[in-house]
Amino acid sequence: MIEVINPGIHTTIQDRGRFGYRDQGVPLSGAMDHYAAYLANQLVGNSPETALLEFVFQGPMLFIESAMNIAISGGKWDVELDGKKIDVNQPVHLPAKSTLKIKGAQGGMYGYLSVEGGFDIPKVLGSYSFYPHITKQSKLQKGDHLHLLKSYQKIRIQTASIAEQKAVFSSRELEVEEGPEFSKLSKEMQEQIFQTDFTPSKDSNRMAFPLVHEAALSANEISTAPVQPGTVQLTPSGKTIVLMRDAQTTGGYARVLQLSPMAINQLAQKRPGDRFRFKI
Amino acid sequence: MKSNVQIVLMGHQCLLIQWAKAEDDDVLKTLHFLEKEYAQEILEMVPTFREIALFLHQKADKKKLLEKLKKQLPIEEENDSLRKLPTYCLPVCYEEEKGLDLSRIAEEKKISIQELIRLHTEPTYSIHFLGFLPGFPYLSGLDKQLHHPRLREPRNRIPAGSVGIANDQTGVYPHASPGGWNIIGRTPLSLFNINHTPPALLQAGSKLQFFSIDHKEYEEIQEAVQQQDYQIQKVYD
Repeated sequence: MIEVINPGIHTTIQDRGRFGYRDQGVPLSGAMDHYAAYLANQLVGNSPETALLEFVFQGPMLFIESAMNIAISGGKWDVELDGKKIDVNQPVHLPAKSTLKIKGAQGGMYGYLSVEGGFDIPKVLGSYSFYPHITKQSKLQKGDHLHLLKSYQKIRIQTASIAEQKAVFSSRELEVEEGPEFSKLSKEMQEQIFQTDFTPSKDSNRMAFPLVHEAALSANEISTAPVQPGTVQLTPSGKTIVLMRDAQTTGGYARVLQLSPMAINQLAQKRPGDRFRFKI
Repeated sequence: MKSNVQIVLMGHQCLLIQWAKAEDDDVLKTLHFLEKEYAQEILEMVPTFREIALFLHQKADKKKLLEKLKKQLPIEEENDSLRKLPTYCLPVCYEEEKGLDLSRIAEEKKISIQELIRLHTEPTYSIHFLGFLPGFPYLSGLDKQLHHPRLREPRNRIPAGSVGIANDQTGVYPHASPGGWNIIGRTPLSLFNINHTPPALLQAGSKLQFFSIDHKEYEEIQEAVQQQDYQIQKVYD
């Protein structure tokens, strides 16, 4: 069992997403960086569907009541076990009654903690992913107890590890396709959008990453239409917004670009100030 | 394929059907057809007023499906099952305490509150799709006299069940949320329940009619809803 001593800025349970309910207005949710989440699970031998902890910017402090194997992935996270620094991107054995402190990351925004065997938590509408008004909690709180599905059995020899995913973090180009309303933009604007430097605004969150930029872009509103994570919206006033995992299922702003699945993972790890361009 | 409808790519394993102008049943007929014919390929679909997004399974052949659909759309055949969808009757308490903008709207439109209620409860609205929030219905059919611009400053918190008007749209907030709609009443019903199948009370393709209740009936229905003892009234043609 894990007890939450300090939940960190915004720590949730996430998995691959809540599929099958978008026509009920229920967002997909799921890990912001699916690639990092996949790696964390793989490192402890979990299936990719296993739910794990997601934290952002500043992670949680956890009391590890029973021994367990975990892995942390995502950014270059600064993690201490009973006050001593431990490595990320590899399986780690946590002894019973130890304290894990996940601090900040040098590079990257979202981090993941997988536990071998996964958590004993309820599935709601087919997924473990936290979402307000769907799951009981929208985020972890001080005092929460997370029970594990598998009770720890034997010491595991750690030899596996993965190289830090430099490519994910250093990429300055995000791969996109044209969105349904791309053709409605003027030729100049179509060219300009690929020559503009963007960076996530400080208001970025699991629902959307509004982008900061200096170009003069604008597009008319549209009749409410389907959208998805990775959809780049352009508003009449020139705001450029990339919808993320908790985004609403429909929207009334022009859909000018659509990020590739990997590009969404990459964008999730960009911090305000990290500049990038779109690449078609 | 006729030029009124087209189908385009919309990202990884996603196709988008778009109508330049959708007639009443176009979207619904197409949804039913796709559900029947392509259940293997399609993970889920999201309809809106004039579009349907098709989200395909990872292993589905997107290009192949695109070519097939280009030949099969538009769907012309009538679908009898469409006529079997009910009209939901949604109780609404149109009283001051629950309709924060009720008097103001009536005053600005120079009509009585009774007249406002009559104009809102008379039409049979079409439920086109759900979006914005889990269970939130996009309706058409609001009387022109009730069209009204959004609040200039949205409220931080609109209570769950609030019935509102924004421009030419009327709808119901399934749960508490910030919002800029003009609130004219509140329903004691729950529009979304994770323990129900499907979880949203109102479904695309069905119709909706509001009916007026007083605060006493509101409390009684609210109690019944909490006891899981309330069945929404449905009218079939």
